[in-house]
Amino acid sequence: MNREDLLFDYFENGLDPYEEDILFQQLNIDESLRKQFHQQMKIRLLAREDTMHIKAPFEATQNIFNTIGISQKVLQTQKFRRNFLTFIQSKQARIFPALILIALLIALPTFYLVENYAVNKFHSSNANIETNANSLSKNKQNYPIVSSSEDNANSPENNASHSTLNQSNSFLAQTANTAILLNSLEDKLNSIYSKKLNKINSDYTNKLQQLQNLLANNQNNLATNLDNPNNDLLNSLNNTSRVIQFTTNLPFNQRNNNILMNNKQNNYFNYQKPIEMDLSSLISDLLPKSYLFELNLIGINSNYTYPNVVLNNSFPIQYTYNITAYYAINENHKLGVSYGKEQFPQQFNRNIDGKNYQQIQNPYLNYYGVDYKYIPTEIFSQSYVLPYINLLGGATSVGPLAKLQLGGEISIFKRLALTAGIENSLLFYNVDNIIYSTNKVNFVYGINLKF
Amino acid sequence: MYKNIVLLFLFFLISCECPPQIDTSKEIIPNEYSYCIFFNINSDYKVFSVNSNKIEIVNSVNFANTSNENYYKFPDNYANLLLFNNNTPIFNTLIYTQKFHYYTFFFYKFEGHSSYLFVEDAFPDSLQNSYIRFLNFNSNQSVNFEITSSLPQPIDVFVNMNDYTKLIPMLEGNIDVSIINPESQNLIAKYDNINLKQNSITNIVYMGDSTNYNVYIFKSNK
Repeated sequence: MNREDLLFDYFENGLDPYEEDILFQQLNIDESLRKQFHQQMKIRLLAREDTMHIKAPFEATQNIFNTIGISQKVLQTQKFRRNFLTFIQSKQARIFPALILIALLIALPTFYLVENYAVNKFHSSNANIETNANSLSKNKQNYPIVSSSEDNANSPENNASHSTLNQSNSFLAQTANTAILLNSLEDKLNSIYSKKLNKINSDYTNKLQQLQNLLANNQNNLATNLDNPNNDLLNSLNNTSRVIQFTTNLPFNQRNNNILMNNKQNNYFNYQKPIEMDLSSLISDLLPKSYLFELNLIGINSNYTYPNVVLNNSFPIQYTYNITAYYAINENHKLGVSYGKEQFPQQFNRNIDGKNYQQIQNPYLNYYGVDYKYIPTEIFSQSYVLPYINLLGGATSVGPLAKLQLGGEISIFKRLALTAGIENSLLFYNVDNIIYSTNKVNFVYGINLKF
Repeated sequence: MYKNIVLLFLFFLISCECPPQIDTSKEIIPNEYSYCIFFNINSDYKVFSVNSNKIEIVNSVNFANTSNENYYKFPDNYANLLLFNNNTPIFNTLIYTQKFHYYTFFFYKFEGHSSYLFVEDAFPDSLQNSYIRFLNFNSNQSVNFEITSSLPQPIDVFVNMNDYTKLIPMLEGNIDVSIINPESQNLIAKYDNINLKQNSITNIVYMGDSTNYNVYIFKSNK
């Protein structure tokens, strides 16, 4: 096994003690191998650090879960709940409070130390980026040079230590050489990293510029179309809202990306603030993120009735309405209870003193019942109008009532929607042991409030 | 849980109100019926309702109301006719009507007693005429009704006390009617420009006694 193989295996798989001794002897002897060793180590550390920060974009993750029909939120919640319950039931939970206390005692001073270090490091690296990577390497020459390289041989201030260390060839000399190597590596990596950062910076700047241009165009379109609104105006509004939604969803963390911030990106945040301050965002921020209950207030307008009853003497006209309170089982399925008042025309036969009569009437009846509502959110998740199907099974004072309602919800705010639809209601009633029915087709309209 | 849902639906199926008894506006129409119109010329009762076999046919018939000109559906064959004034029965009789025939019911006061006249309004629709009927419910005298129309000569119709004429066919248009004392030939009253419509009946009722008289004109449309 040659030296490179030993080095590779050391990092990848580990070596047995014998091979490890050989490797360390070679490292002690060979400077180039030692340099290679440190390079490998540094690269692996940096690679690990870089990969730790990489996260899948939020939209991509969400799209994947939506495609396979699983709610990411539900999965995360279930996973967290399962892990939490498992942990609570385990023996580790008994010592958990003590561990937390110890961890806090350790974490607090460590945090302040690390924070101070990070702040200092950030300032120094920020300054380095602003000059350039080459100047970094020149500045680093101020460190004491303890190697035997010719570049530093003429350095007068280091001549004494140079000669001493060169002669001793001790562990200290090796350590000093390693430090020099690490410094040079750090310089190079800094330059690469700063280039990468600049590239990311420029990409974000370009994207931001595109978004700003798009928004400016849409605002111009809005201004030109204000006097004669048409479909273009509506499309413009839609595009603007999508842009705003996109920009607010960017996986951008200001604290973690401070290094990327230049003046333009600060403008980006300044530009974003007024969008976040609009009324719907404020209301949605005030309301809880998920809802369990829903209230539907609906007015009913009858368009077709069977039997069609026209009375000579009319009864006072009353409001016809329906109030439904739902419990949301999930996004698609809701169960509720209803109360309503509606006119149900009736026509039936009676036998009075041996003579047959036909009675017609159009009474206002109160009804109550149980509702089931289904909203296919998977299909219409991107739509502004959410269609729904509502089934009601209930009763009036004269008999059972069934209703089927098809309609749509148009969101005004996140929790407030306008509803409109068509419903077919069927009332059964019994007169002299004969079952009669009233069939109605209604136009319904109202509001829907989620809380 | 499921037991409760089943119980809830069973509760829904049990109705607590019988549809015929609902407090709302309703119309009860006999399956086999004739057509009747009711006039109230009895000054003792400002209003009455007409019922037949516990079914209300007309809610209110006001005294001397000439505005209503429509017939009501009334159970055919033998049927009980009951008049109510403030939920108090004031008159009860049994009448016979034929299916889809037209009838007029007069409830009036004669010599201090409540009386009624129930007559059939039989005339052929094909002639396209208008019709006039004279009724004399005056308890004191007979009268002559003189009709002046577009015809060259007036028509005199003599009507005894508590009597009425058959339907007299007339041409559509305006007529003048004079009520004359047949003995003295004095003019009692005159009504000008009474409009006669096609396929309608105009009832001219003379009422009163030796000192007072009233004339009512009721119209009914088929």
